[in-house]
Amino acid sequence: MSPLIEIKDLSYAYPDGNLALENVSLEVEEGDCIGLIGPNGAGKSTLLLHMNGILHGNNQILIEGMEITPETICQVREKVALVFQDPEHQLFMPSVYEDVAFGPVNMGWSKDKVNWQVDLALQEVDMLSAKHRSSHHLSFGEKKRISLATVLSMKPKILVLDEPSSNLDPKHRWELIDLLKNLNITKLIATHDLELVSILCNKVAILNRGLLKAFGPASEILSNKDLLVSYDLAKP
Amino acid sequence: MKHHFADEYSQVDGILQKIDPRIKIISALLFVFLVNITPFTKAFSLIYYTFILVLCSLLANVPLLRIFQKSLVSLPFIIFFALFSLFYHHRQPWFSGVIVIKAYLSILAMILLISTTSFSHFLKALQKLKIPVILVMILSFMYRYLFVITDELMNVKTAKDARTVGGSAWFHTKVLANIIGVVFISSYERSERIYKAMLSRGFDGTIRTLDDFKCKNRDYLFGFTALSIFIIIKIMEYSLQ
Ligand SMILES: Nc1ncnc2c1ncn2[C@@H]1O[C@H](COP(=O)(O)OP(=O)(O)OP(=O)(O)O)[C@@H](O)[C@H]1O
Ligand SMILES: [Mg+2]
Repeated sequence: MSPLIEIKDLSYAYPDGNLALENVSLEVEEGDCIGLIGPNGAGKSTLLLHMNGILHGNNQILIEGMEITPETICQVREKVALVFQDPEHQLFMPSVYEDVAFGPVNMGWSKDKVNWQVDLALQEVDMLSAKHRSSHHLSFGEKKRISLATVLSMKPKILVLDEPSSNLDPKHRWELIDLLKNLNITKLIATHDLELVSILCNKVAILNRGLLKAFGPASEILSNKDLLVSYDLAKP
Repeated sequence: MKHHFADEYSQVDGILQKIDPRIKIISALLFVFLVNITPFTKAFSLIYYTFILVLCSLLANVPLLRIFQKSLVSLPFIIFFALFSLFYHHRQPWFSGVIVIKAYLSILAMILLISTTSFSHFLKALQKLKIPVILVMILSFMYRYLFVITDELMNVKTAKDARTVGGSAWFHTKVLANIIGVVFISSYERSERIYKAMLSRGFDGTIRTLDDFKCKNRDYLFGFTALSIFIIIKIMEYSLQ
């Protein structure tokens, strides 16, 4: 069986010439939870932006064996849900409700189904009380939680998260970890939160300066202290 | 961040808010049209239109004062226009006064329409009324990115204020010039990001909202009442000499 996501020799340079990814190859199997770790500026966010075709590198990414092309992009985006690192980029509608409903509405669901999924998603991130507020006026952590709700409501097959636990208070961080743990879909999480990785992920990839430095079972990589230290991921 | 949304009264419980946006838009446009074709010799009938506006704002539970506040922005334009028309109607300066009143009534009507209709419904109604999609999209993005830019400006200004201790007026002016540049670039990039976020959640250029409009009896009643009132005003205009 072909892997769910296949990244082959992906390189990407930003328009200003900054080479952010270099020959990255990665395979994600169905049901995997992959932790993507690496120092600041390693290229984690850049890699994630490729997962649903927002950035196009030189080489192909296959989602369920399907290339990301203008023809398939809609199907890919229904399968792969992406949460940006900065919630300011994720929330753009006048109210929280409209933001969470944006994806489902675009998928053409019925009104009842949309309302049901929106309430469910907001409940999961404990933000149901803010349903009719404007997202401009929420705290950063609250915006992060709503950002997650905006894609949970789309019932994706693959969840791609960029630093989901940053800025969350301890209670909501643990709730997030529990929530993700109980979510039986394929996940790709870029984070600096190694505790979250050790709880959730079965595989870990280390990225440094655009290069994939290591990829393997989480227990193996997280226990390799020398490896973590050499990429500034642990205290020497 | 602190800013007022154009549709700040759209969630208030009021009769006007419950009316189908399409009927509201058509009635408001008709209102503006009738106000503006009122002949100068029958300017007294503008009073009736003023009454209609007051009535509507009561129906909508919107404080009149707030509508008035919002309209202040447009006042300079109207006055400029009136001054200009002084040269045109130089024999009868009160014509200019009538122009000001007409323009002002039209603007009040539009403000009332916009502030009692949720913006996404307003856009969808425009689309249903066969306004070209491209125009509707431009409106939609203008509205959305207006807030993005004000946000960005406030962020940078806060960042500046937090690090400013004293300094001459000239220094502040120079900093301001830099800020404008930074805000321009960062809001440009930010709007690009937001567009990507929209794409990544399945946006393909069509505006979709949940509530599909269906005219109910209430809506027809509203449209019919509005039309009757307009006709009555016109009749009174011509019968009262
Ligand atoms: N829009 C952009 N234009 C140019 N260069 C960029 C842009 N965005 C990121 N970069 C550069 O690409 C490299 C990778 O950035 P990326 O955001 O992917 O890092 P990251 O691993 O997510 O870091 P962090 O842990 O801080 O989130 C960095 O060197 C960064 O400076
Ligand atoms: Mg990042």
